[in-house]
Amino acid sequence: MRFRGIVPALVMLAGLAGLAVASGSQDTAAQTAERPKIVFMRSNGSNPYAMEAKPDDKYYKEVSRLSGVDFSFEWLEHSNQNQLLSLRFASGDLPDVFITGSVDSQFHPGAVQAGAFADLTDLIPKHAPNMWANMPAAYWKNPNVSLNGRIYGIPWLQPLPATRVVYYRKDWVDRLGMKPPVTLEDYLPIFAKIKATDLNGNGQQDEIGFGCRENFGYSDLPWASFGVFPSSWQLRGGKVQPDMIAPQMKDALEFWKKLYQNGYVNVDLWTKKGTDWIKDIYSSKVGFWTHDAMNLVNTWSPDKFPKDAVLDVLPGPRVASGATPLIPDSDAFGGVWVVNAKTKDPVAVVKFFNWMWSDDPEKEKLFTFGLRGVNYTEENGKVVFDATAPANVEKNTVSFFQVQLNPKGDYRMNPMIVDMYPARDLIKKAVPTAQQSVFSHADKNMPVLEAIKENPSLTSGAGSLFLDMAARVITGKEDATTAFNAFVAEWKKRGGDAAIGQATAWYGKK
Amino acid sequence: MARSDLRGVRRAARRTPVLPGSRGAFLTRPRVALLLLALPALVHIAVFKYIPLLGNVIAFQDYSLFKGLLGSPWVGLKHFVKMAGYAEFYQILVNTLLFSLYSIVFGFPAPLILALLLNEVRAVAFKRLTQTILYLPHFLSWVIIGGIFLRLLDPRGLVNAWMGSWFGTPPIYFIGESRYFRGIVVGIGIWKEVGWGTIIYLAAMAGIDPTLYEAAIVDGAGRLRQMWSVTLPSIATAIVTLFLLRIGHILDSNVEQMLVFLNPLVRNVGEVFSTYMYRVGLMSMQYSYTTAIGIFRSLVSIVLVVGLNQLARRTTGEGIY
Repeated sequence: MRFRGIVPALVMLAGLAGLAVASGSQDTAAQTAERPKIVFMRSNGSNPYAMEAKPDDKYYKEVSRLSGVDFSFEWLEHSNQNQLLSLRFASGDLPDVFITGSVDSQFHPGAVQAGAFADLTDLIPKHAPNMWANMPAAYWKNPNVSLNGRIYGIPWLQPLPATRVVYYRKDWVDRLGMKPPVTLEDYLPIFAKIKATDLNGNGQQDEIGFGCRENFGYSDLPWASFGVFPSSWQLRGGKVQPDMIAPQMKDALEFWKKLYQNGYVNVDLWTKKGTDWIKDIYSSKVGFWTHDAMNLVNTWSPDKFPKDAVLDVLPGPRVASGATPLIPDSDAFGGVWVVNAKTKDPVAVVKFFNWMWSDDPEKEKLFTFGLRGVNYTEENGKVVFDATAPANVEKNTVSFFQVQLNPKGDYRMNPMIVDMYPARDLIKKAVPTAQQSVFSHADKNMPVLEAIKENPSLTSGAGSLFLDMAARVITGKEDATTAFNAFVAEWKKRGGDAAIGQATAWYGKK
Repeated sequence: MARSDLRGVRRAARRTPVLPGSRGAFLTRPRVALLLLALPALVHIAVFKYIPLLGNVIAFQDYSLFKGLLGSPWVGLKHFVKMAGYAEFYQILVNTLLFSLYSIVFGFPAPLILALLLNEVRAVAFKRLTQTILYLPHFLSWVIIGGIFLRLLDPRGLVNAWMGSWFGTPPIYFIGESRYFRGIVVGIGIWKEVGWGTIIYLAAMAGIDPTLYEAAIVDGAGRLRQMWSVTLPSIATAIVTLFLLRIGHILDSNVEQMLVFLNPLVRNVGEVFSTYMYRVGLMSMQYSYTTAIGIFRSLVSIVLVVGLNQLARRTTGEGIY
């Protein structure tokens, strides 16, 4: 009873304080009223800096300062970004600009038809001439960017037109007295020797020739030499058919079986998660692996390996025609920005992109090197950037401003910075190597087929008929011929025939 | 609520005569006052648990985010037919039931037995320490536990190393073998939850009248006989209640627990409803289809809980309601 008077007093104080704060922010709001506010959103890519970024982050402030808009970013948790995006659609709480795989993505079907995205067809040539001139014309026509002749998206660029290479431990191959492999058959004796020799000096026979991950992720070495790839479709016999059911796929699986039974690949490849696979590579348990060239700046940076390790890259195994294919080719953009139709000022957004595509040197430095005085310094007008400095290494800050924050594209391979990485020589070799390691395929830019949407087990990913059959064949649980034939029959019966019809029809209309 | 507050309410009720139409008195009658206190919780349950049930109608539509609930076309039982007609539906149903049965048959008695054993421990410090350690796995996420056990059971992991040195067996890829998969996943699930599950039983056991034990000892009952004749009957209510609640989840499986271990080699025994829905949902946000599956699972759960509750009532006299 003694405290009776305190509660109302506290409430009044809180109310007065609230009024003071509100009136304070009214003043600053009036000051920034002229600057358009643009909120971007995308997945945080599991980047530690993005995961902890606050709304008043210094990088946002710098972008705002240079661009003249009030710029900020919202981040979606990477592992379930599609569900989170769907949730935002459902609740109507969408920011001004966000990234999606395609304007017609299966994760927001009917969005374009429902008018959720701003039509940019007339705005871009008028308000973003830089971008209009410098973006390859074919990108605007890409089905992921425009629909029915109207442009709804802005491509976000990949760092390289082609990315996949074969990485290997050159020091191991040299120690074994062997030459780097050229064809797929050349790999086998090298794998045999890697398995038999204690190359990492820990007294255990735990060295693996070719390190693989679950669902055949980043495990690309054997496929293309047989002219097939699990996710590719090709024109065969007048129809667009998946490589999964082609007879050559059986040969590829039998080669995989040889690798598996001989211990040239890790036995637990069915459950090997990405992070564990990376750890195995760092601890010298893997001789060869396939991954992206631009990761030489972070994941495969030399400082992550033991001192005596020497890394090198190879193109895909050479085939009879002389080509060195590894993975299917793709358009060099990894995502499409879409503008919320309800955004207050779509012209301001398009003008912002025009600035992103301009030659502004301060902007280029920001998205390549970071903040002056924090991530890099300038001496005599030249940029001095140390990729191994703590400010750059902690929380993967460099990847943050080069990739996650960057509205134009992935700047990891920006020519300005390539020479400053510890692995610069290997990067210069890896880029053309990746470009040699692709092959063309009929399903490039093919939308998800109706038959596949109805029955996800027809794909080649987790939970698919293909993966289950491949697992049984490779581990020797079932005979290759019977299992493969049964799989093809089942695949066709469950909707595969319809899928082939739809794919062929789409291909004919291209 | 403090005693003084209730006293004040009752005093007020006694002071003012309860005349019809006398508003102030009505609101301070004990029953009404308590109902008012419960009102926020009841509103919360109504708004967040019951009203969203109406959303289940999308199972009978081809729901599209952009057309909304009222604009999406009605398709009747199309999704239910699709679910039943799915080539692997029967296999998924069997897998889900078997997993739940394994985990009930082995996982339900485990915390009970552990609680009975802990109850017998006299050294208090040791008992407290053991309990704390036993609770810990419950707080770990399945991703962590998956990582730990995948390494342990790896062909190059500890378990195979021990078996190799003691029995001389070649390394077994445990997680890839269909015959071990269910046992391993259920076993790890039991290991994770057994400590936490003892809490309710131990709380119930703490409430048992010690004179009952003394009477039993006087009658010549040993430790085991005491457990059987005194402890178990006294906590019978708790056991039946927890069992019935467990049965209600028979078609649920923890999606994280399954996904972390599931791989192509064991899909024929490892694919359950939750993993199937997870994949189907990822592929194309099939809201209507996954809602239909959810309704099917809920219907089965309701039938089981109501039916078994009746059975429990008739046999043991205890039930949830």
